[in-house]
Amino acid sequence: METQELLHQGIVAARAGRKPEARELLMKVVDLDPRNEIAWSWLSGIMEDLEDRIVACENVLTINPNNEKARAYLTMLLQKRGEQNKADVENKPPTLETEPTKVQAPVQEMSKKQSNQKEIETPIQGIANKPLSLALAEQLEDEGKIEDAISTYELLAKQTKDKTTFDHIYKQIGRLEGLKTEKIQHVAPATSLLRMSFTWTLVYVGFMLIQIGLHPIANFSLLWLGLPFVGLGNFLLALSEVRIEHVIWQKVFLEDGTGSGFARVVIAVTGWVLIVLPFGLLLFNSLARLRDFQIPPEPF
Amino acid sequence: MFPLNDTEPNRYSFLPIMTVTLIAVNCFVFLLELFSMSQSYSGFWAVLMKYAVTPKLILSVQGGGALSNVTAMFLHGGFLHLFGNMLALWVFGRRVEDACGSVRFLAFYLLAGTMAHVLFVMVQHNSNIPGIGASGAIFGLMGAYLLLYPGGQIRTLIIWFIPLWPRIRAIWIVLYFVGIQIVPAFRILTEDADYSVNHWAHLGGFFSAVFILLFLRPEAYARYLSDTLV
Repeated sequence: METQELLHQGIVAARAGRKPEARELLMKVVDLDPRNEIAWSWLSGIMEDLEDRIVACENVLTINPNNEKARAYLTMLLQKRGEQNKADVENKPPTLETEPTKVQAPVQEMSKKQSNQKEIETPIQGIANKPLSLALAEQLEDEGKIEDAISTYELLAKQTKDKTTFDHIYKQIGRLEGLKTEKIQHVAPATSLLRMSFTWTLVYVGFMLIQIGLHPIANFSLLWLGLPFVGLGNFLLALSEVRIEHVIWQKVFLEDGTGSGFARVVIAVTGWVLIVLPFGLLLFNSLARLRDFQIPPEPF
Repeated sequence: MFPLNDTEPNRYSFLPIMTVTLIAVNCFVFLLELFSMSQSYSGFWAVLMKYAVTPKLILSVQGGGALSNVTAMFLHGGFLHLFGNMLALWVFGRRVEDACGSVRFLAFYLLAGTMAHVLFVMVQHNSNIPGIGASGAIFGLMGAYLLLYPGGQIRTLIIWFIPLWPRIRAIWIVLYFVGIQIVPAFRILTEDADYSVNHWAHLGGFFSAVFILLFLRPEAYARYLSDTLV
């Protein structure tokens, strides 16, 4: 199994609270890729032994010395160890030896390698004038600039103080690294927009065919007029999901770029209204037909 | 042969909300059916005529039309019918929902069920027998699963003298279930044979899987194009 797949499964297991399974999977990841910062970050939170947690945290900092979150966490863990040691000295005989930690060796090796390396620089071409934000990182990803998106996320990770945002950023970095490793090809947002505009439209066509007895000409119905509305609604729904620069953001919301969160919600709600209305009319038509329907006699 | 579970974890979402909801709704509707049957058979016949897909009624533009098309997907002929369909919905639906997202998954489910009914009505246009069941839509999910996860393995219960539950490649399971539809389906077409299973609806649902690529999340679609695990 590939490293990214193991990492993904390990994170899924950790999030689901299956710590032993998560530990096993993430340990495999760091065996295969000792410089996997994300795996070490997760391990620092789920290792049973405090020493192992400290080592994992040190590994994160060895790989990325600018990881402030990990540094703060390490300080907390070291304080905890200090308190424990104090308690041990008071309560236990001095002959007791501490077991060596399982992940110590890779840390030392990495420390040596890391000490010779230059600090990672993150120049992002073409976006120097734009404010650093999650939206920017997402936009870069949509444009297929995966490296730049990762760099943006890394810069954001250094700045953020909020744990939830930090976790989100790390998850995104892991995902993007995965895309890079697996050589996932970039799909233009316009393609996604076009593709996703056909979902409810197709469902409406299917429903209409059944409604008119599979005979569009002989049983012509004005309900077909709902089709362009469903199509437009479906397009707006797709537009609210796919991050793409579109004239609608400028003309309707007077916004540049790929639309703000508010604009997206408005577009999504409008899309749903346009979709639901024709389906609603179809439902009313069906109910009206059922009201006048004479039940045929039982054949058996 | 009973597919039991796909042991691979989800990639994008934790809980298959729509799959679970569809299972719950199907079970609830079945309870309503039991209640209706317990009242009188003629009452149940009326339910079938109104809410199942009967080719002659559909073609003569009588009855519920599009509404019956949807309600028929939630009606079942017995506990085993319901149980088999819900098991398959869980096994194949979970990861297809993961690749699509819940709302688009619902759209695909409805589309597959509708395509199943369209083919059923087209082929068996003289039939007065109402068609019910989620199986058309579920065959669509099976086809979609096969397209998205060709290497997927399913834990399957096989009872052949002794019960065994090996992990089998999904392609063999899907081929088995589609394969057993083909001969009876052509017998219906050529010999006007009697039937109790809606084989043409199953095939119609299965062929609707070609549309699954329209319903995928952007990342799942990119992964599909990159010939890697969706």
